Amino acid sequence: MKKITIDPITRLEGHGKIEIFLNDDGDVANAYLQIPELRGFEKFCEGRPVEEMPRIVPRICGV
Amino acid sequence: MAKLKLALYWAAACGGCDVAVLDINDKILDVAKLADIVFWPIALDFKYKDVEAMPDKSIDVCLFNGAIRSSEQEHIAKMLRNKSKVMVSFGACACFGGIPALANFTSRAEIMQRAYVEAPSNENPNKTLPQTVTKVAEGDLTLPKLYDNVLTLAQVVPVEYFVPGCPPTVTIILKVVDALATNSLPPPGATIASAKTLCDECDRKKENKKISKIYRTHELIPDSQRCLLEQGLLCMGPATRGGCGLQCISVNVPCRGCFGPPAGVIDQGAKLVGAIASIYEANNDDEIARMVNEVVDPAGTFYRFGMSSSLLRGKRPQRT
Amino acid sequence: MLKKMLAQFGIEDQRLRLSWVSASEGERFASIVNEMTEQVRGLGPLSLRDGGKHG
Repeated sequence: MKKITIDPITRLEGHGKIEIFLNDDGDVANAYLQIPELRGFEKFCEGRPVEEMPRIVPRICGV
Repeated sequence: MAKLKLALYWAAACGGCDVAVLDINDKILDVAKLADIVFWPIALDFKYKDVEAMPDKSIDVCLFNGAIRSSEQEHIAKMLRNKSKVMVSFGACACFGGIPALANFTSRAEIMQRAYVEAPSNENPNKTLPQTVTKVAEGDLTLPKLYDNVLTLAQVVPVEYFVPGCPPTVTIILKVVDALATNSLPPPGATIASAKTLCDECDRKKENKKISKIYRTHELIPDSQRCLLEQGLLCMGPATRGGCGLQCISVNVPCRGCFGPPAGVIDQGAKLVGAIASIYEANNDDEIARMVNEVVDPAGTFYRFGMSSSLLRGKRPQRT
Repeated sequence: MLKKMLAQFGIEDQRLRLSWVSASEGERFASIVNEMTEQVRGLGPLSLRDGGKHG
């Protein structure tokens, strides 16, 4: 199958790539959005003092 | 002078450094006069394959923000290094690991478990985890490999300049733009901020008093004229490079060290442990025990932005 | 405080010891060093994160 890759997706915050698979007619058979990043805030905030959360979690997104 | 070719990229980042560049507001027009931006995912639609096609060393300056914690991030860092004459480690994450480097207290396996399986808002009954290769009906999909360790940019490629901060301030960004425009960058290896500590820059009243209690930040509304450390709040000032213009201090909030260690200090956290121990009044085992109790998360506070560039770098791997 | 912080890095309490020994306490110095050596040997190699590769 022909594949069109859009990598990276742009003009938004974050990382992403899109894979578009075309069938023999040139129509879209399927498309996949993948997010190739993970930082782990859900885990590394555990064990940090609660009053420090407003200084840590805004770094999830600086926009 | 011909227009410079400028690239900006983000690895394990939040977008704040890119927004900080945009925060120079109308001065972005000066940047546009000075340089053609050839790659900047937040603002322009260039793709990785466009970068791959560029000749080596054809990019004059690359401002690279974000820490390195995946194979893709390392790959792009190396690619941009090859294509660029000057590589700038931009922002606390690229320079020291930043907030994402707090993941060095945990592991890739634990992060995946928490994010994809345990998190209360998940709907993932099959406990599916991301894989580097996933077979779908139409073909294979690939994802980068996540590393166990979060690294700084300089730990994967040689870097000419370091611009610290979370994010770097507009003042400092303009200094960088100006240096590029007038071709007056300092010798390679330089950090573009102050050489002194934040304490040296801080204009609060210091009385060289010892403290007898350490407060958590919600336990005290500090006096806005006196040194925060002398009031019992943990302020990273003594172990942090200055140059930020006291952005946190001026709103009565103690420093958390986002400008990294000052010149000559190898390990920011160790420096701060020394500073705290030297101002705390503790004359017997009980008082020492009390002080230790009052500091609730020493590693996570003293290495808030600097885990990757510290000597120990993170929690020891579990013995199998 | 250092012990508390090192514990967060997974470094055992017994790897760090603070003792005051004067220049005239030669025997005491030797016995403390021997004790500490055996103690740390018993704990095994440190094996830092990342194998100590970077930094």
